[in-house]
Amino acid sequence: MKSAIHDYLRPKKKFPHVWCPGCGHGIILASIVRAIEAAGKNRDEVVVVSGIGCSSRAPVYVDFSSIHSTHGRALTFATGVKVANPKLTVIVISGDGDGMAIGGNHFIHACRRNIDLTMIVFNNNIYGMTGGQASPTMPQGDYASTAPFGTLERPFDVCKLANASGANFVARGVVTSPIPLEKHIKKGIEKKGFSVIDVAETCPTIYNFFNKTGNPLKMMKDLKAKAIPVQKANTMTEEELKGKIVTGVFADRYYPDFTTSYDKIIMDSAKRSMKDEESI
Amino acid sequence: MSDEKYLYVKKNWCKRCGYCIEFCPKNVWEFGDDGYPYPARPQDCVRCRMCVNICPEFAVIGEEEVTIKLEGR
Repeated sequence: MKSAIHDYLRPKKKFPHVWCPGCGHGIILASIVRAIEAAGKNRDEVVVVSGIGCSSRAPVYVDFSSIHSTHGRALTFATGVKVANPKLTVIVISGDGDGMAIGGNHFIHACRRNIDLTMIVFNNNIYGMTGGQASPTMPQGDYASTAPFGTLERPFDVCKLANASGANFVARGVVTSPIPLEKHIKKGIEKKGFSVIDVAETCPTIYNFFNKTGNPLKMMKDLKAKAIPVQKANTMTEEELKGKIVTGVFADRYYPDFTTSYDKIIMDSAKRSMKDEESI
Repeated sequence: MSDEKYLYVKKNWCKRCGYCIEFCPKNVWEFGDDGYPYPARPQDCVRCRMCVNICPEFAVIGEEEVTIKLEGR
């Protein structure tokens, strides 16, 4: 077994990367690369699309075709790539602020459209790069630069939103267990239709600055203690589930995806026009 | 490849977060005198590759040929 990430690093990039010590983004990036290799994809047929943010620096380091697009619009660019060439495997890397707040509308409609993309949400509950604003997944009462007295809004659950909007595959992983995370991503890549993998992680710099959660190692240990599998969560009450992160697969459906339906329309109309010509 | 256990830390990439030490199930790793982790008890290693997978800096390497390939980066 080889470490796949080292085979896929861009040859002329400077290392170490820009992420802070203890940031989980590197773990997720390595998991994505391992998943792509495990799924048996050729690296020339993989396109990685990202928006703006700490998480969206990820495609810069790996040797795939990539688009570093505008803030929140990674999904729209990816939709264009996929529709133009349905043979490509398109992976969208997005943060929780990028994908859920600014690109929130694109997200629910990509789920509804059910186009064959794999979206990986690097969910660290805060806007890291732009200065620590509160993101839509930040737990209620936590502090941020835009919430000096604690956030008033309740967070939303990315997996529940994706599930309700109609995505074909919805799962959540945590950075403290990279092997299940890799398996979820692999399944998402192999799945026809829109797949969302929400990855819970920590932000040891900005989140820690506002919330005093302790050093990176303590944050990782706390995250590991918070994560519980979905099978166990089903037997627990709502009170017990408070503050926990439920991991596992939430939806696994087989609805026809957008490009397949689109090809079918093209084929049907072609057949119809041929029939018309024959009748003339 | 030989069955020899090979663990290496690329020190110019390592940011000393200590995840390899914390998440190793067999307690193989330890911080060295220079502040960087090193495999203190390599004989206990069961090759689960948790350290390789959990390292956010891609600095823990489990194969000699990869280490040679990345030399000078």
